[in-house]
Amino acid sequence: MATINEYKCPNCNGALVFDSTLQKLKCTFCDSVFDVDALSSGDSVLGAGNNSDTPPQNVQNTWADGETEGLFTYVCKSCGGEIIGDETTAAMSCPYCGNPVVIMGAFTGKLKPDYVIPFKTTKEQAVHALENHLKGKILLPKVFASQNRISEIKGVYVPFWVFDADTLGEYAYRGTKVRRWQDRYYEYKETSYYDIYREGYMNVRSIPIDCSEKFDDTLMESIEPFDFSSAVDFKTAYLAGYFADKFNVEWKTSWERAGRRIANTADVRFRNTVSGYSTVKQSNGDLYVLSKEAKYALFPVWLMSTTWNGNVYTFAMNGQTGKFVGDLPLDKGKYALWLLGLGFGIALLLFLLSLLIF
Amino acid sequence: MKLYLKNKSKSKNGSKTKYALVFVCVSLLLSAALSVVALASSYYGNAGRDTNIPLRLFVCLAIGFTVSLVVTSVMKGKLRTVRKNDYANYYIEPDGFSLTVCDDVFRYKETEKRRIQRSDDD
Repeated sequence: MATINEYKCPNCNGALVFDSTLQKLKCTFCDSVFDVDALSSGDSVLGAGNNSDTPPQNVQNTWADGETEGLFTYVCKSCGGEIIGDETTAAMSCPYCGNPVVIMGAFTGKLKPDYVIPFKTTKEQAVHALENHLKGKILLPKVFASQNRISEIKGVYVPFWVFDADTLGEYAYRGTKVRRWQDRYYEYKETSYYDIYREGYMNVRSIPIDCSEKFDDTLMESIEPFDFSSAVDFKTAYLAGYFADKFNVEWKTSWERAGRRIANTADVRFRNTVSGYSTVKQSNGDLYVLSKEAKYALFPVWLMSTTWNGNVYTFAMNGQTGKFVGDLPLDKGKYALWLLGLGFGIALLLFLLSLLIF
Repeated sequence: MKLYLKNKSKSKNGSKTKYALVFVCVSLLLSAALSVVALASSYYGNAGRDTNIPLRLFVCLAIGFTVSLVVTSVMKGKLRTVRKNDYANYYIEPDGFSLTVCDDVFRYKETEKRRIQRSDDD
């Protein structure tokens, strides 16, 4: 069975969780505070060459064939309770005693993240951000904005592939400059045609691409950017008190998305260097990747979801910057009222003014 | 993890009331608008002025609903914050973009001319 690690307070044996305000491990019982480095001795097994990708033992006997695929069990060291996770679970809380646990097998060998950005925001800030997100939304159904419905918010370390790339772009455009003038008898239009060439380098650093199928890619892209300069070397202690998942999307697949984003950015950047023309049309464009590098990192995200009128609404907050996103439902009655009321009101006002003026 | 709302039980009567209110408000506005139009037609008709009321009304309604559509679209847009990020501008290294070739080559030009129509040409 895979090893699980629980960070315990040396003073009182209480559960230690990573405090985003202090950026240290804090005991939930005696409030003692410890540096992450001081309690990371257990991480030595992560880089000890354990290249076994053998997953932990499946649950047996009580499940039908195929039902246990992707499910794994662990035993909580604090209460002995059975914790069930899937093949990507890396850190979670014991559902019985709430003790935070880290599944060491999820981070061994090539599965070990290179970096982690520790949580910089707290759960309370996430709750506050949600309240602010619901404010000022005139077309939001009133009942949805009730604070009573928010009861649980989960801090998750989401796995990302982080790409660096050096690129060379070669672009060609056709441009025209139009000049018009007239004399007593004729109007003239002179069109000058140009061939425009642009070539240059574009270096990008730390593009994050979500590499877990569990998390919606669009949601993760919405809470960007992440500041990679705050990333630190990975230590399991940072995960204490939070949930974490490991990657299940290979970096080559994620690179396709990163490559597309880099290419789109290069198209715009090079196009913006062409100015002073009436029309510009791209005739050719190539972007060569001179070098690329992928790093595996865990980024902090606060996640919450709610169900209303049969629809699931998921909200996410960047655990580093506090950027909050989440789609909200539309009150169709209010929308119709505003549309028709404002339309008729403005029309009436304009009509009265037109009678007075014209 | 799903959060189930502690939703106030919304009776069918509640939503019916809301739509009835919408209907009443719109009807009132429409009635007010038509009353003004009728009064204006009567007043200017008696005064002998040709004000082309239907055309004015159509133009005012068109402008009014265009503005209201824009405003409500902005309000609706605020409800949608989850968007794909197809670019990577934030991640371009400082001074990480530089041009090595920047050529604008003139090829040729074309000139068209059109005679200006004047009344004394006839």
